[in-house]
Amino acid sequence: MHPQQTELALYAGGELAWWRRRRLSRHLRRCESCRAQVESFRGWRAWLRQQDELPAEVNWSRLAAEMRANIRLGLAAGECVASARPASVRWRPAALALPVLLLLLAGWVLQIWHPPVRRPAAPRGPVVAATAAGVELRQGGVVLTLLHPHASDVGRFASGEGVRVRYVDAETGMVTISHVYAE
Amino acid sequence: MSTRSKLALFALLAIRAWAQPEAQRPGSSLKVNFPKDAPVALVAADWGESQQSARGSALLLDLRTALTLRNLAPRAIRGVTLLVVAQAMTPGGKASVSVPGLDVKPGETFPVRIDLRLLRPGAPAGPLVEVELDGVLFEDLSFYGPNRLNSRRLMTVWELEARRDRQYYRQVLETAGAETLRRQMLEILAERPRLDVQVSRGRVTAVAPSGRSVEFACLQLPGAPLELVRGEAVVSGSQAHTPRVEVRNRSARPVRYFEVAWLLRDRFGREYLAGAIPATPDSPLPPGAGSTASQEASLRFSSASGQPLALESINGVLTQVEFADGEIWIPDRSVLEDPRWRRLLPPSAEEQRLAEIYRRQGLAALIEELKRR
Repeated sequence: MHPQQTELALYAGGELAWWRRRRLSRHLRRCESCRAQVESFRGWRAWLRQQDELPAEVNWSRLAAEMRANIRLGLAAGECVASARPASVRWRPAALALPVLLLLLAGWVLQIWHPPVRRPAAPRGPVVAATAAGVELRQGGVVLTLLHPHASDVGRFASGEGVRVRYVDAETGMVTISHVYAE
Repeated sequence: MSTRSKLALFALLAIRAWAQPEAQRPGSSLKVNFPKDAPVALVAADWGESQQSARGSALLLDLRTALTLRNLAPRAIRGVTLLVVAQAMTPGGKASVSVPGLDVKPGETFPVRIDLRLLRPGAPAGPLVEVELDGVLFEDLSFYGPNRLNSRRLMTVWELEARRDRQYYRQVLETAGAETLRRQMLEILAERPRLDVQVSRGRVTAVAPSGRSVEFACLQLPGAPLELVRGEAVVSGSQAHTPRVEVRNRSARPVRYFEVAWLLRDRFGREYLAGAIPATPDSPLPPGAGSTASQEASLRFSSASGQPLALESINGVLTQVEFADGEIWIPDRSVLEDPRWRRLLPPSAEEQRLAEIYRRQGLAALIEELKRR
């Protein structure tokens, strides 16, 4: 099971408690995608530090849309990788460490355990969603997004067969209509 | 550098170029597949900042492309719809990109942008995404294409709306002057409340206990060929499930398709045009007969800031009818000028296009455009 994005972000900033940091370090040694996420968070931190001041012309709404899209993408990538990665277990070290781990785990669970929160069931069929960045179709671990990166005056319209988005393309100046179907 | 070193360097570069993985060249991930007799041809494809990369064991394709198409037909093109199919999602998942409001004369070229992102497990061989032609609409409303996405009806509706609206704004210019035209363009450009929406298909098996059946307020447009008798949906929080509408054909002609738009009102009294229930009766609906249309779908609405919409009530209004003979009905412009409808219904694609010309190039360019077509 992968840690949450927030935990990875806190880890990248060195803001996790000692024990959680240690636990996460172990996971990161095994998990390439989480490692990449942490590196990405570190990269952004470094970039932000380098910026003495903000660029003169920041398109905040576009920036926000891109950030939201990237967060969604990161989450989707996590799900995607989780479903595709084959299990790999090193039995010997695992067997040696098992009793110690069990002991630590029992103590940790007793200390921080809370009743599990029931999450709403995810839709089983294809899901089409309009977001700030575009129209997204999720189906069986695959995500297809029709983007409108330089769009203005965006209108969204749903029907039982999908979602339609109408916008003015900033480059061509033409009204363009994206339609994503869920069948 | 000696000749041997140069040769070694050349060989190294050649090997590197050869060994460059396919995944680094996004151009090969997209295949444009038009029929041989298509009235448009692909002239060029600009891949811009497209890139393909690995995310763990998943593959991410970020495609930013502008296709340049040429009109090979002897008539002007009014609209084009391209079908976008992702290999990983067939069958079922598909998308389209349409450009209405065109005026492309024979031999002229025009751009169509396709920006997409595909995330999928593994790295299969062959193109990940295929772009096909679903339809081309010409100035005389004739159509070419396989019409798998009902592009013919959609593009005809957009073209009829465009003709109606251009005529209206020409009339505004002649009778009320340029300043009134400018004011109307500014009204179109004014920010409207927007919704984010999510659609899940399939039968809804469990609705939250708070779910309640909400009956649509049926709004009747003057001159509409169908009467909207009643409509309802199960609403829980920001979600509406299984919408159902009942109509009666009050025209003299059989009807083969109709569309009822949803106008949502939240608990703060704000109204949004959020979607539509499209309906194709099993057989054309005869004059005087009634029909019920429903959809096994769940729609979730949220504001642009991501807050779930607190749905209070739903209004339904008929926006489109296709008769069995192929003729299409859309609301008359005089109806749309009623302030009540004007407030509820969004501007058409053509109004959006005209307003954009005004925004980018000014009033003189808009007047020129209205006189030109």
